[in-house]
Amino acid sequence: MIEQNCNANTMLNDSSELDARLFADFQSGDMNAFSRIYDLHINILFNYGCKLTSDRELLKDCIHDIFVKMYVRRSNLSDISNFKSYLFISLKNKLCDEMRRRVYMSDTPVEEFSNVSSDDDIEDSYIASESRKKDKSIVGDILGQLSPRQREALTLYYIEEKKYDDICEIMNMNYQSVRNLMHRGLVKLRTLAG
Amino acid sequence: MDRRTNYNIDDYLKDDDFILAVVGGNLDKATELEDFMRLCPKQRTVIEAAKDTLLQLPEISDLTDEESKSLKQSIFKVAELL
Repeated sequence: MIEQNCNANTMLNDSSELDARLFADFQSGDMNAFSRIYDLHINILFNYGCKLTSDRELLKDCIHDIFVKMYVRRSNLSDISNFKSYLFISLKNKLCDEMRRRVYMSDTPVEEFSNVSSDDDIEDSYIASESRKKDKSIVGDILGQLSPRQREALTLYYIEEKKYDDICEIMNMNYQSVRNLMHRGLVKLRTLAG
Repeated sequence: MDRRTNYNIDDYLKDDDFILAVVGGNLDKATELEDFMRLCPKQRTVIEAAKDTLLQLPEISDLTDEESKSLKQSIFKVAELL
């Protein structure tokens, strides 16, 4: 295990140095470097994404978007200390944003967007799924009575576990407004839940 | 209570601090993760499994060459337009 970790760390350092060189070249306008960055990371990034969703098309769209965003923001990305973790976190955030957006824009139950596989046996999964459906139906009814902004803020905070600063940025609101919005949403939820 | 107390492997794979510690080689985050494992030993097995998952992601995916090429072309096409 120790040897395995050492090997992994050595490989990590080598690839980090190569990433740093390529990224510097890319920032200087070298599109071949951008191409190599894509070639080097596409498979591992796709494999990481497969751990988060089984929707291939969504995953490809998100990978597309994070590479485009990286291109657009290339001159402002000087503080990336590790390129691979930047890609992973960007992809994870993009997938979360997209899944959340799809949930808001459709009547499809939330659990259908959660595609991570489970080893539970089928009966337990079925019972748990039915129970979740019932709970979600109740929660959905109550949440449906909140304003979209209140729903978004509460979802970001309690389900996505975003920090207030992140919520402010996502919702384009200042800190106090987010606090007020969440407070009013919680008061309404408590009243509705009786 | 630490947010990670009831984490499963999937939760770790989505955790920024965990990614930075394991993939990013961020020493502060790695130390903090070690400290957490000492404080919450029942999470050690889950963390080790999540680490293995992240570090052993295969370099080959089931993305076909055609898909990969098409995705790349699309990225470059959009990039050229911007």
